[in-house]
Amino acid sequence: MKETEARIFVISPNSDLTPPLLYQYLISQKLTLKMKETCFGLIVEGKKNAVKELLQKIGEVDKHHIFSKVRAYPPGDIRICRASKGGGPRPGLHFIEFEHQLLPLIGAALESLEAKEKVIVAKPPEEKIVPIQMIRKLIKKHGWARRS
Amino acid sequence: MKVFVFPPNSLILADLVERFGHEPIVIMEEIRKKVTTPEIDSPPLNVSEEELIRGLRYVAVETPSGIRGRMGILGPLIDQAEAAVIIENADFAFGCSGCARTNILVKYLLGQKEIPILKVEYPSTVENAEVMVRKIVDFLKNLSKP
Repeated sequence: MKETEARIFVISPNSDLTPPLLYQYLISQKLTLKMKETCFGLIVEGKKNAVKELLQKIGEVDKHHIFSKVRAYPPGDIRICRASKGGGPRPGLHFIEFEHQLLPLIGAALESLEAKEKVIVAKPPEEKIVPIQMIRKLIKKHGWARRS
Repeated sequence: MKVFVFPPNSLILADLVERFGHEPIVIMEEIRKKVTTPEIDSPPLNVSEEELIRGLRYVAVETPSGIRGRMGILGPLIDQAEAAVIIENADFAFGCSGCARTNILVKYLLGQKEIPILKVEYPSTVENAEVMVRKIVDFLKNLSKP
């Protein structure tokens, strides 16, 4: 169990993705992971390498609007699952719900940060001295001659 | 570098710390060790005698068992911390399973450790969010890489 990791992926409310879409995309990637779709994203469990690979793939899809953190319980654990506890929010839901509302702000901040870093100030072209050989060539080419 | 985040289960902070190349120290890792190890003390929300004894390293014996039990889990995480990011207005850190006194003690112990600490607030507008994220990113970039 030490080599495995459970992660919770939360999709920002302003993302174009929905949990079912992300779920279907990740299923198509054929990763050996245990996944569970939830109302705010996904819960994933698997070997650490596979989870790392998944993180990269999710980063390619929508890196500013999908957030993740490690989760303690495996997906569908009966000790905290609502189905086995007779409904009600599971422990930790309220905090995720609160941070879920802030994710659009954080996503926008990350986007603007990246946009600012990408701005490259164009350097003015360096002034070079034109070599005398080039001037002579130009004179010969255009037939300019010194007036005597 | 190992960065302690407060609230210790924060999604936003854990994600940002990991995104910018550091290792977040979160409480979920510790809880996972407890809930996935088949022992008699593995049921989820219980602390064992071991945690209470471990908690005595951080608080006095007459401290309520709730704080001692929490510090038994959070204390070793603070010991590992090489830097910390703290959210000041985290009201949700004091909820049904939170503890205001533990929160104060955690912040105090982090302050005593003489490690780089960044204090930010949850944003309410896009501008605030940009300031918060910029502060966190600058802080994390200035820490040496793990």
